Amino acid sequence: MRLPEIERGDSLRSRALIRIISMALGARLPDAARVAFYHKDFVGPVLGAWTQDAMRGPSEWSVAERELMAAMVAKWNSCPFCVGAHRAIAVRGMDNAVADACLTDYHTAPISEALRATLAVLETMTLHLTN
Amino acid sequence: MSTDAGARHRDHAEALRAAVAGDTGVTETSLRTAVSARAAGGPPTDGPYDTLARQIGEASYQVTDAEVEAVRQAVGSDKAAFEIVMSACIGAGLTRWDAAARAIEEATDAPA
Repeated sequence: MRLPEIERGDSLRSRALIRIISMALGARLPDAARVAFYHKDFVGPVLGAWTQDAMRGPSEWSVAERELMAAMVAKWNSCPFCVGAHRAIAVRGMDNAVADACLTDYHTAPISEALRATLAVLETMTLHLTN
Repeated sequence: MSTDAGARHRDHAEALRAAVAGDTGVTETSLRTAVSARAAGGPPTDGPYDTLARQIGEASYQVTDAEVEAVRQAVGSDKAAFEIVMSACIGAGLTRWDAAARAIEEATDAPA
């Protein structure tokens, strides 16, 4: 189910942006973008600022590596849309084959040991927190 | 993480925690913080809020239309329902962030 006001947008600007971007894309603007545009008085800007810093800010990890981590977390959260979206950006900075090997089985994928260890931590945090 | 990066991300986490518990919402702060805690595995809260928060925390991809609709009916607006869902999501996310930050701190404090 989708909440109608989020679908539509809650300001003139949001509604216009949603329409215009959907037209330009030739496709429905993804729900994640609608959520980001909605109720800007609440958590949106703070959440967005952290996301931007984590995914694009200064880091020892490349953007592609971070996007691959995000794709893996999305896989563990069973969100196919997010897996696809993050994978699409990851492969702009790494081979498709590496990204796909990782998504299939990160234990054996041709990635650095540092990344492999990090993914193990991310998997535990995502799936096994109560253990 | 370098100490700079650690501090930056800690600040972001605290800002997010404050935003959920702040006064910019249309719902009661106490409801949002209860829902946030519930999604993080904390104490039960009331009726439809409890059901949805628990489901978001345990397996968000299994949330049903009925669970969302029950909260939408209880709070009375899309905006309020959105706040409940976001509070639960952020609670579930931040508890993982907290656990990971602790693990990193312990690992970097550990003697070689």
